[in-house]
Amino acid sequence: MKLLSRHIFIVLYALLTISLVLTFTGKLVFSRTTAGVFVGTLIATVGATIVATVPAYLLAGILAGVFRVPAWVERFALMICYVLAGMPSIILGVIGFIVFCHWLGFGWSLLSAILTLVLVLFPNLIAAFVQLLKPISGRYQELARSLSIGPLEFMFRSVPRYKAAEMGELLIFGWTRALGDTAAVMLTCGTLLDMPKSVFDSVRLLNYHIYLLAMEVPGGMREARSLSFLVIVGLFVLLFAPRLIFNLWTSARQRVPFNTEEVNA
Amino acid sequence: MKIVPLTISKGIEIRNFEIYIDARKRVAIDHLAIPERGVIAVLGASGCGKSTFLRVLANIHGPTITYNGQIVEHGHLRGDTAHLKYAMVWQVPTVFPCGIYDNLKIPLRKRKVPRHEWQAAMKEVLERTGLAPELGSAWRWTNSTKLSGGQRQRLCIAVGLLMDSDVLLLDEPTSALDPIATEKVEQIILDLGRERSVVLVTHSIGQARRISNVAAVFCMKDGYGYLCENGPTARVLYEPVAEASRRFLRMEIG
Repeated sequence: MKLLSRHIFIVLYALLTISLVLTFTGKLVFSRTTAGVFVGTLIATVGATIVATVPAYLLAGILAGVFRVPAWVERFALMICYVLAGMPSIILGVIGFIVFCHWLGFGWSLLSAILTLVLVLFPNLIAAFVQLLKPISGRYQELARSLSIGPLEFMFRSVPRYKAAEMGELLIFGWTRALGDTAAVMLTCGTLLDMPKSVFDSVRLLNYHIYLLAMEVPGGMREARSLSFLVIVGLFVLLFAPRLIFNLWTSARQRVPFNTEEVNA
Repeated sequence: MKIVPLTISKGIEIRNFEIYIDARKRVAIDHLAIPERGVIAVLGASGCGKSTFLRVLANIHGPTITYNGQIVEHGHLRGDTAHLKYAMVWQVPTVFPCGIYDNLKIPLRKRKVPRHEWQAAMKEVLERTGLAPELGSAWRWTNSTKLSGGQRQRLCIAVGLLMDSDVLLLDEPTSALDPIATEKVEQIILDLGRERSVVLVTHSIGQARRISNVAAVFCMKDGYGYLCENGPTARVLYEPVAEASRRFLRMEIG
């Protein structure tokens, strides 16, 4: 495991190379209609991660004690977190189907899918952010207060700077969770294969597309296999990329002095 | 609230001051004058509210802590427009886990110091705290987590100095340091005391004797700490007037 973590860059590089070779040698097959699925999936999952991150981070700030709030606000935030965490994603999908598709009139659309995925991501992101903030909310927050750094500045300026890799990992974690949650969005995004032109367009997301190819399209198994392979490689790359980039960045920063003039002098 | 006339022309004066934690009285101070310059050593048994007092003074206390009484800063009652700045250094050296440069730039950015003046200001405080010769030119890209305990504590003081604070509050800054690092920090405190107020919470009578001009002794009574004696260090340590402080000092000195 230690060897794997040390050489993860090589592993990722090998995985990407294999998938490229397999694509060019015709082992992996993708039809043209897949482009709409990819774009729709990207917009829905990235959009949901972006929309969910800020409120989840603020709620985590309340639960981790960064913000001074009345006790009932903390209890309320905790209750939201527990209720959402306790619900299976298919139930959240049903809620999304009733609330976003019908009551709010968004129909089977990207917007409904994004809002449903926000509900799915919320408790996971809150729990992850609380884990990130809890150890630093005591000592470092007191330090921040003594340096006239307010709680909002502490949350949005100090923490992302000192915990850049962890924050990146959490966001990617949210994104990959959204990528994998087919059950919730199956009921809210529709099944249209076209390229989405607005957030009110119906789209088909990748995992559901793979399922339909494998189960209901005659001869679709080969493309389903290719797409599944691509999803796995993509997730590996996404999950390891932030730590890798951060490590490369910090090691480069420690090697290169800030002020080259003085070193030259 | 009526402002009681000052007995010192400049500095901080604390009068009829009471601190409550979860609505329970924990600290009481009838009168304490912190002069504009000099080191004031705050002594007392553990749990008598010395650190809480520093946190309230620096206005960084948590929501469970409340207080009433008067804090008069340079003749003005402390309110929303408090003009005095406080810098705090903790018992456990606490700096952000990033580069020394990144830590030092926070107070400069807060004070809106022009960016081209940052380098000179940083170099000056690193010289004053004795970190410059130890770290050399590598300080720019050295991470604060790679410093020793003593170096990190001196970095905390350097950050405090860049806050351009009138009062430096030190909460047992040498309790986790070895004698050599302690000596360095004490020398810095002594130098700083010549130009500003330094409030030093310490358990070491020897340290108070070596570097402080004024001493204040906190004692316990009915479950809360109160200021039982304060005055020139030599007088408080060798000829204490109050019975409680005499008993405490006798136990500490042996």
